[in-house]
Amino acid sequence: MNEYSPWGTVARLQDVLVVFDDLPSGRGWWVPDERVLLLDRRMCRRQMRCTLAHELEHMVRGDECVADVSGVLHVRQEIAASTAAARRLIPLGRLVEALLWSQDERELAEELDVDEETVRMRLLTLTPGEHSIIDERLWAREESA
Amino acid sequence: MIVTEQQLTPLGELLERARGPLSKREAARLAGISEGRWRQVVTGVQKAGGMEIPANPRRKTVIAMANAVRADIDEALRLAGFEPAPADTTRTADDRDAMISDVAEAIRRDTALIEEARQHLLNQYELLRRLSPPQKSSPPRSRTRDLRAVAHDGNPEDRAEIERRAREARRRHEQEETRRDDE
Repeated sequence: MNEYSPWGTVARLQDVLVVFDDLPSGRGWWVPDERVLLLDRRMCRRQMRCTLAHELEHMVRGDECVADVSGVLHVRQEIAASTAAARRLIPLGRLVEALLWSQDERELAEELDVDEETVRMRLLTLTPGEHSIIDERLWAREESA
Repeated sequence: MIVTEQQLTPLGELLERARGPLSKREAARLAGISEGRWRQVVTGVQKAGGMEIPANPRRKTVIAMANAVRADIDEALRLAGFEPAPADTTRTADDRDAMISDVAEAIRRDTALIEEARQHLLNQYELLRRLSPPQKSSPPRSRTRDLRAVAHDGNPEDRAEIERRAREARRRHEQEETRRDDE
């Protein structure tokens, strides 16, 4: 299975312009009117990768800023983008493999080539089915140990 | 030594007449070009390697210059040997882009303005631009809604600045593409 690459995805979107800048706040901004995606250039590579994936989800979902209208809607929008980005960046198979040897968020993030926030979001939003698969695999390892 | 005014081209006469009491420096600044370039265009000659060659301004430069002194843009284009803007749209998309960037640029560069006034003018200008009819040959981007920037942990107060940077980046990118196409 091909692994998801946010850089590959954005490279195929010819009308989207990615700009690296010292942003006054925030790690990334999606400006839908201009089809411009701004990333803070002071981020590390893994943060950059995750922020790009997050902003691409805003783009896919057709999000625009609703912070002025409703704080709740804004938070829901952010959670939805972060959840979707975490799912794309961390496929279940790779997560299970990483969990077999570590449950430390920092180590998991390093292994999965994402930032810790993304690992946390992926773990928090596991479906019951995914929980079962992970439990099953972890028990199987315990028994074989 | 007696310094005589150089002969003006018909385009130069139009621009200089429209310039009125405005200094050449100020007019050039409003047009986003150097004073030297202004002189070259109105006299129709520029020096290269000790030789005098035709100034040949680009269409966008002619529009910016005419716009700076509020001269008739169609007349200026005609005198410079360009096709005037189509009657149905008044201005082509390129012409409109040139005027938009020139006006915004002129506001940004105007040192006589205090920062608050500059920001107010830019906001007003942006509002008017958004209320203008969509361009006929606009790129395939949505202009139908006033879409707002979405931040990842960003401060909403920075949104205007972020949108300005995005617009600027997009404008530079399109200029670069046009330049590449021209080459």
